[in-house]
Amino acid sequence: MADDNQFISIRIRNTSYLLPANASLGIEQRETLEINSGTGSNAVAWKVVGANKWPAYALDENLKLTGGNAWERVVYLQDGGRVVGLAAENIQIMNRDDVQVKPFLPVGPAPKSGKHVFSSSWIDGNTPVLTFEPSALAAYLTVVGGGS
Amino acid sequence: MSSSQVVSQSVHTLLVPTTAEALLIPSAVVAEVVTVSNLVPLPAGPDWCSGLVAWRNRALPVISIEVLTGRPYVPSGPRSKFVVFFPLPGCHESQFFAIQSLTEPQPNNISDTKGMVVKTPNLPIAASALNLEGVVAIIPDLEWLKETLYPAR
Repeated sequence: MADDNQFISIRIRNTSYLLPANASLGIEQRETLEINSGTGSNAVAWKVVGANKWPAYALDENLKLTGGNAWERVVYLQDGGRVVGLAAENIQIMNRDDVQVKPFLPVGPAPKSGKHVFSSSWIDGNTPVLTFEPSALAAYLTVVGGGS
Repeated sequence: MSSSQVVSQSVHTLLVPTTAEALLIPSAVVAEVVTVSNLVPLPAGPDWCSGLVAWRNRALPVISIEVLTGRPYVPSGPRSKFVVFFPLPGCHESQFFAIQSLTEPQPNNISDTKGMVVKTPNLPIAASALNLEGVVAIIPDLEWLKETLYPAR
């Protein structure tokens, strides 16, 4: 599962992003999760782990929280003592040999969670693909999602 | 360079036309002038970042000077160019960025600014301004640009 030599390609709203595979606590399919059917939480689903429920959130193309059912899988990340998930249309494993990333720091202010959620990029053909910084993404999801 | 200073040495510059004021920048800060290519959005990016392009195998943010100075966004046209800046002093070596130029930037060799200095427009980006044969060109405050593009955290 967590392989230092792999990336996870995450597709959200027809845009692909990368995440170092070793940052993932696990990838869950939709049917293994408890779907939010209108509880007032921002989560689209939860993974039930014993007495705990790990929330998963869906983001739009501007990384704003969104609802809906346009997702099939969730990748879970650690945020300090919490676990939080990002819902995606599709998730694929890629070998590092196929992906040459270079440092990339977005312009403009960082989000309220503190750090920019991207830290590097890869050029796929002629298209920039941004790589999530795992801890910043996890913190961002916790802040925008509200943590429940 | 303040408006009270004059250039005492020859400086190679590029005059970068925009739909707002033209920018006059030292050629030394420019890595390359490239043809416009497809932009992809920078998710959650500021409105003055028009998007990202692939350049030298890296993602390059493209800045709209118009939006950065409070004007409406102007999409690129058939003669537009991207002027790629080297990372500004104090920035990480990966922090290249580009601004969109209306047309091909024009090289200028400025050896004496006497009589060319004009009132600096009231824009935070403007360090000073020169009149280049009828064209008012802003000399950008690169420190302000750095702090705006990459604010301290």
